[in-house]
Amino acid sequence: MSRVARHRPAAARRPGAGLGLAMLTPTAILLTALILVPVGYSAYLALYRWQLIDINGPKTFVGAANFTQLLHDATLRDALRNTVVYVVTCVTVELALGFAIAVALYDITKGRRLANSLILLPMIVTPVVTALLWRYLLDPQFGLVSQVLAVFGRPGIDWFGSTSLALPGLMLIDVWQWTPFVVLVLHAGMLAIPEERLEAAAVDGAGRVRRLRHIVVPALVPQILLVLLFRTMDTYRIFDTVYVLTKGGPGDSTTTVGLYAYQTGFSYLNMGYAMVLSLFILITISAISVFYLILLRRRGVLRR
Amino acid sequence: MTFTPDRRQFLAGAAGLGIFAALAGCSSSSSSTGGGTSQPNAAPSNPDGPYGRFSGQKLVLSRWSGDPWTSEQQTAAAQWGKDTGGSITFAAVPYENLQDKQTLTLSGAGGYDILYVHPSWFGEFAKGGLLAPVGGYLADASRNPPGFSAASYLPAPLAQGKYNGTLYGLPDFISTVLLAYRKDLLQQAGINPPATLEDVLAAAAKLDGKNGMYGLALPGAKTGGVSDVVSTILTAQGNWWYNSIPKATLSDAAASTAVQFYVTAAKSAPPGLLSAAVDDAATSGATGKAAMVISTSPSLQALQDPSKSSTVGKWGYAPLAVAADKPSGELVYWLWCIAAKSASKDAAYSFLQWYTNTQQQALIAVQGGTAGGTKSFYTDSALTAKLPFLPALNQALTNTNPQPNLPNWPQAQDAIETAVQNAVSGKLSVSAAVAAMQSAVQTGVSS
Amino acid sequence: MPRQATPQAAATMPAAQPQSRRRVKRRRDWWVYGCYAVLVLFLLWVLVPILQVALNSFKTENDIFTSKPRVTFHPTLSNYHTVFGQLAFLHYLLNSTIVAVGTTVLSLVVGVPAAYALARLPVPGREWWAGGILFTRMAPAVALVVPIFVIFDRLQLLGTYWALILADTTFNLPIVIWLMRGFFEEVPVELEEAAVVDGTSRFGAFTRVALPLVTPGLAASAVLCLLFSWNEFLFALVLSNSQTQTVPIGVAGFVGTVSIDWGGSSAAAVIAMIPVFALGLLAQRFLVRGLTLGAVKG
Repeated sequence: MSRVARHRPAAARRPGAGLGLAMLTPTAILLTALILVPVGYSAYLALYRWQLIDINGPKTFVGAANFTQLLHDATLRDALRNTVVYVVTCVTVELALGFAIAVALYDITKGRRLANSLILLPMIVTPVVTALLWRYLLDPQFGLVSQVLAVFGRPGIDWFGSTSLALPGLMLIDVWQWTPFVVLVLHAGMLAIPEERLEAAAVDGAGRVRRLRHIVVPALVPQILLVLLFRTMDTYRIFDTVYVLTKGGPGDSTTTVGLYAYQTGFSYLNMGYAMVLSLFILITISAISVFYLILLRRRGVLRR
Repeated sequence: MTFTPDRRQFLAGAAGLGIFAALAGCSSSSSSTGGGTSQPNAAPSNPDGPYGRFSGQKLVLSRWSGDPWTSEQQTAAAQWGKDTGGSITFAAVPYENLQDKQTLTLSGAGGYDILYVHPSWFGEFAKGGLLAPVGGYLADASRNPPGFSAASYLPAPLAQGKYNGTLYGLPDFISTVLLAYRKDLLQQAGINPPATLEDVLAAAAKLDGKNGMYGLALPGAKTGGVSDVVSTILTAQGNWWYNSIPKATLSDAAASTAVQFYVTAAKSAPPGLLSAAVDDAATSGATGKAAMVISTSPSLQALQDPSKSSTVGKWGYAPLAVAADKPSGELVYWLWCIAAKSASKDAAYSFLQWYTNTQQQALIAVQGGTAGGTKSFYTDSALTAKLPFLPALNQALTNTNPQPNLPNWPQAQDAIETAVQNAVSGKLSVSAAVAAMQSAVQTGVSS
Repeated sequence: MPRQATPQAAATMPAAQPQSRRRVKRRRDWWVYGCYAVLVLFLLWVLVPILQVALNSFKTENDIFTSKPRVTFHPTLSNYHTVFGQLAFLHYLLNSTIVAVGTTVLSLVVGVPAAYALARLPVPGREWWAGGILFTRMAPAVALVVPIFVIFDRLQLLGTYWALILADTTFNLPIVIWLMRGFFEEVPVELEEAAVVDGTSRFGAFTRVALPLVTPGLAASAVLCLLFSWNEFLFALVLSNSQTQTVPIGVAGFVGTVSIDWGGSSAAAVIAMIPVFALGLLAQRFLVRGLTLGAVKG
């Protein structure tokens, strides 16, 4: 660990740093050229009023007008509210459920490989098909769910046509599709925990739950942090399924910030404002991530 | 077996990557367009065939992927290629993304020759100089069959293909909103075929619940179907969203009728109205769950398709009307255009002229449930036999407005459909929904 | 399997603690059965929708839209005919495979050393690097689509596989780096220090000591890269032409203007699932390997 490294003579430290920078250079080049530069360019384009068709042509300069529009945008407020509900619910459920399944996977003796592969299927299915599939499954007339309910004499529930059930419907799809991601990451992390620590604890009389709490969870913190960060990032920007299923409807009940930004740019042809919305999304996600990092670091569980 | 890379494995891996990189780089150059020779005035090799010889020319056609008619158009393109010596490749993207893909490609390095363009973005393309004028080709007698000229097309759709007086596109995919009703069920209940919207609502209320069926299926999702139906109801009352300035001309009374229609119709509609697109409405009818369907004519074709419908042959068709003798429709059409940057404009025109003419359109009409843009299409009696809704379509086309195509309209349309949805779900009263629609139209006409 | 080490270890314990052994054994049986039960329920939830898709791929639209559940129906292969015949679906599969494999390889080759550097090497400003890399993953696609299109347009890379591979790699890199960094940090430092003392270079310590021990992480990263790239839509749409279009665009094409081809899209989805599922099964082999090594050392 870094404790050991500090005892090394200063001369021996530099070669390591040089190698390290060399290893990081390709990443730096790729990410700067294809992410940082485009984001900067987007920020610059946010100062103009333009449409997709003006992409190579002249655009009208409007200065900060797009940014001030942000403050008065009522649709954005609705979208934010929907998005926050979506993010909090999905990430919590996915993390909890994913952790439970990862533990279950870890403790079974046979069939682990098959189970692992099958669990990945929701992530493998093309997102368009996932959306269509769940629309079909939840269809009030033809869907499996409604058919089962019909057996019990209850009428079909209209998920995506109802302002109160559309967002939960989307959340259900997100959990179905992405819990496997959590399982994959956490399970891989568990596999890296040395056997002996768990055996020793078992020998000492620690029960399963104690072992989970005191050995497994602390060892998994990097993976948990990764899951939290990436799932939050992705649910915050959710767009595919919403676009295919409801386009933000009924009413405005499923409009999310990601969808709103896309629609503003590509459907309503206001690319300048769409850039501003994207920057807004970027800044808010960064803030949330910083919050996560500080929270988990302050608890002293991250090794530095 | 541990994974310890030694030098040989490393080099082998690197070599593999290198080969892969070379393959990836070179195997995918975009299909070159143009090339070959061009003889636009050569007579067709067979009667009703395309004019011109364009051996070796390669064209790229941009349209949406999937239904309707991809395979029919591909067959037509292959036929054209055989007759003229050229070749057409299809660059198809999902329908929702077609506008963006065309915009990016045309504004960027190019790559499309023939474009299938929707009216809502046609004006933008024409204004941006991305399209080539076709009026000159149409007027050139040596490129067209004898007697074929601009007058061979229906005047209303052809007029929509003009921007600032210059013609940029040739129309096809003519369709409108129609009512389809189960002749057998109405006869059983002793109801006459509905002549006005009030009749429709009365019939729907009467048939709703009988034999586990719903009265009326219609689109309710925010995917354009709602806007089409509302637009048709406005036209039926002689009203429209805006005039040519453009200035908003929506009348509260007309809008209120339309919204009220939806609110009342929702009572006899299958569940899931607010998430039903045009095809869902048609499916409800086709599977025997709804006694009547209001939807766009292409989607109504599902009623005739044995693989989708268990009620084939039981349907009658009528245009929507508010006053009994004033049928109305919304003119839906698509335009075939040539890209300004294309190197094969002559070849492109040859295909467009041949394809939008009656003979080719007749081949695809049955499959797609739409009508062609040429006048002779509607006087072909064989077609009328095969397309049961054609008479209703004809009637509807006597009083139409084209689909709105202002640049800011998509946002307005979204708000209009939201207002209707809110009225149906009870969140807004009818008058509040009308007010929301009025403010949406103001957004739509603003520049 | 590693878990079996524990019962044997417990069984060979001296008889001085018979009570705890019995108590542990009974609790374990109950627990393991519980795990199986939970897994079966979860797998049901995961698999029923997938089975629905598979079933739909063999049905006509008539059969798909029935309101009473029907166990029997007339199976048809017409949907598969549509997918393979009418659309160039095999072509899409090939394109997707090339892009997915390309981006996975590139992401791992670029990302794994970077992750090691952030985990073990004294790079100045390590935390800032890690944070910056994470930051790049946060940019919404809308902000990136247009500038990236312009960049690739100028470089004349539009419509090539490289455009897609590079674009997908920029999304995969942050996750590879962050994931692998966590794994590298778990590798005991002493092992690497020992190797360096023995004379291997630092790079050698990376390839010979650290890398073999993190194969679960490598497998997980590879699977994630494959999956994200396989299903990526927006950039595939913008950066590809008809020659290089990938599977998601092909599948989305089933959502037509007036109707959705449910049977066709289901068939396409089934076909699209198979290669990735096979690759996932393959990757599972590596999700166990690293553990035995870790247990032997230490």
